[in-house]
Amino acid sequence: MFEIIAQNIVSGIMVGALYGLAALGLSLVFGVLKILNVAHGELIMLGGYTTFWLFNLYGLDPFVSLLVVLPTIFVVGWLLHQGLFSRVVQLDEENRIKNSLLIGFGLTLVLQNLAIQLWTADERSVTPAYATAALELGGVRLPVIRLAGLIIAFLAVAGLELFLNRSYWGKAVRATAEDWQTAALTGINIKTTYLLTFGLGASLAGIAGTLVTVSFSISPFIGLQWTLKALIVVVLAGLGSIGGVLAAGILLGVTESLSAYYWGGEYRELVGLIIFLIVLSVRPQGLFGASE
Amino acid sequence: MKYGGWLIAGVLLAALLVTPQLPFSNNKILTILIQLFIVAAMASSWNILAGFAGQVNLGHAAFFGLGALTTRLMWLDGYPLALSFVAGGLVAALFALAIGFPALRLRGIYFAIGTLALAEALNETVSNILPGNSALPGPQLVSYELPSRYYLALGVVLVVVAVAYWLTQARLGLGMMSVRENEAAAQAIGINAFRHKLWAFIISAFLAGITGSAFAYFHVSYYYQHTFTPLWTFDAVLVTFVGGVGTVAGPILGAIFFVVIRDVLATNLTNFHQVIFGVLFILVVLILPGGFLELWDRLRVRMTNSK
Amino acid sequence: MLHISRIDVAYGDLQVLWDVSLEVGPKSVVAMVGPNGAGKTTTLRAVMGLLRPAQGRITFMGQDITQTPTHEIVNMGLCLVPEWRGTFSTLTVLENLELGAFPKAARAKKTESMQRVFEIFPILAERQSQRAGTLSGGQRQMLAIGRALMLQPKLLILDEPSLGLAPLIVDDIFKVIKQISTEGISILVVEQNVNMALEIAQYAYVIETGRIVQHDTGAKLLTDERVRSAYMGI
Repeated sequence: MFEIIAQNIVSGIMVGALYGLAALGLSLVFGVLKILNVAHGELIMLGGYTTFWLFNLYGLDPFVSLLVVLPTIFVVGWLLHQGLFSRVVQLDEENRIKNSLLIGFGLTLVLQNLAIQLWTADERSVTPAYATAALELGGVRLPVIRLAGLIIAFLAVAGLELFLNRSYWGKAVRATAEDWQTAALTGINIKTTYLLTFGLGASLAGIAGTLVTVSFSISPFIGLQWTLKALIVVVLAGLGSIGGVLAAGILLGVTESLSAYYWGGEYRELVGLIIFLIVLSVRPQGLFGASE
Repeated sequence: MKYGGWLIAGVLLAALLVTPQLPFSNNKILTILIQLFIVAAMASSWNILAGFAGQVNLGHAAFFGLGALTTRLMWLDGYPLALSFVAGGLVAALFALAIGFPALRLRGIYFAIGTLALAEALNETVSNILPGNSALPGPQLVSYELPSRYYLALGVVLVVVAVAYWLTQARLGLGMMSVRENEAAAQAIGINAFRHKLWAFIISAFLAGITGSAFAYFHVSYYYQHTFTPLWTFDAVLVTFVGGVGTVAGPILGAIFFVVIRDVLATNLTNFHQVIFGVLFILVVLILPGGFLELWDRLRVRMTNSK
Repeated sequence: MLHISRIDVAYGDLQVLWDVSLEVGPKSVVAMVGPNGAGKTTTLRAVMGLLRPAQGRITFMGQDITQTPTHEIVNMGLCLVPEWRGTFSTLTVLENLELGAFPKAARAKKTESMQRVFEIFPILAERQSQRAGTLSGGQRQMLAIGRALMLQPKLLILDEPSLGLAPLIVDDIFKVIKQISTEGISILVVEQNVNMALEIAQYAYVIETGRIVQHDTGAKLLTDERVRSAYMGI
């Protein structure tokens, strides 16, 4: 019995790390640009399809494809910001949030339906040779793929922290997040900072997409699900808090896993949504966010 | 509206009223029109909360679904249609009243994602409890005819538009609009912002509820979960913005355009209408916030100026 | 050096500046004084590109900067210490100063600039690893000025440097401003504290409700009847 619970917890941690990774880009973009990109899930979907096609057409190992996904989705993000979001970022708070929400919304529809047109609505999967390989640790089964996903999630967070704290551009990003006007007065090019941040957020989404494809499957419809999931994690962690995102994701993953165990699989998604609604009404700044 | 506008509306209304009686009318035409009425009603009811009161609700489908579910269950259980119909709207309105208190405390984006999550939660719950589909049993199936469905749907959209129009003239509606413009300023001149938002929420919900009821009466067979899917919200949002958010005619225009593209023109490009609308929507947000109506206004100004 | 030429500025439909003109020559100290809400900060925001004037021109070192993006203006050597201090509270004092040398040209001189800042403000050297949010008001003002100095400015604009500071500290700050001006940097100081401003300024402009109503040398304005009664309660 204990083993089953332990298995559930471990599975929850591995899925949760993926949730955290999915939310990381969203949190970054919100913290700096102060917009909530509801098309974030579509970027995850695009990353996933990149991995799928690279595997299907060229036999490229999904984890190696990360090297392609990173820059590709970065460019997609760059273009989306340049063409669309940059036009609303400098509006006043209310209009900026409303318009960016709507643009993201329109993008979701366009991207999702383009994906259906181009790649059909079928669910696809990527099954490399080691798909079923797993480690056994004290009676708990650790699928190699999920384990790799866990590691990559941690690496991504560490990489992002390093970038933000140690590099010049990273500090520029943090400065812009805190006060863009002062940042501009310091000689920081705000437009470029925004582009960089959005592109980075997109690549993080792309990486999450690769892991989603190889751990589960890919279809044009996963965008909205994952946007919602990322939203829940971001709100749990506190809008703008990057450090808490991985922890919040893991918390959500474990909670979902245990709820599914105790009450049945159908309630898995519901639990997340209910927790989200409770946190939203009681503590909108999230579990790790600062009190206002 | 100028007299010309009223005249056109009157002629259209008369045409719609007699359509089922016309010799060339058939099921296909009536079905498309019913779908138009439902889309228009959903958009217009959403517009009341979003366009008039300024609160972007991404969970509108929940009200639609609740209305449909209530009406369908009651009607198939033997209750009279009229009762089931009104009950649908009331259940949706009560739901709005119940969640209005916690939900409307949330500002802007939190409200949007909160309502989205709530509608999703309802969606999940319904798909767990009622995974199957609802099919008309024998007697109702035999006595099924389209014209009564048509008139009910037409009646619903007329009620919704009438309420929307009334709000633009009434103090309640003007109060809502002042809250939309600047909540703090509205409060400062004695307008209870929360009450106005709550009223908009409840009215919007009731109207979406009876639209759902019309849907439940119209469809022979559908999955219970279908009426709760976020697509109903998204279509309403798209349609309203493309037509002109915050106006009475906007959602209607948008709905006509939407149904023409989706049901009349779309042949084998199954989902392409969504792409078109998505792109139009983004253009509206970026360039033409007033939608088609604004475009029309600008053209009219150009034409009068060039005289 | 800096020429503001007949600018009109509006926030949406609300016009706040009318026909404002102002000049700062090389190696000089100029003041802009006036009451709260007169439009002083708005003028500065227009100069720095945080706002665009509806009419008029702004030139710096002969170049038209009316539509130039803020960070480019800063790179040209025109720097603002804003009214809201503009320090990043989540970064340390050191990080704030380092960030001050963001543009490439300033980055090359980073070490000497930092030396200079620490000489002028020894207390900043003491508190280098402290987060800026934990500094006192006066220290934050010093950090803000220090950060601006890291940019190697040719013209330094200070918006209300005395705001919210105790009189002793205000004295210190203005001494520092004078010191900086002697090193060849032009200064434009905007102040409600008319006395202090006019004492260090060679030339000054008086702005009221969005218009320049008077301008003259600092000395003359200090003894001007109208200025004395309106702003110094004499």
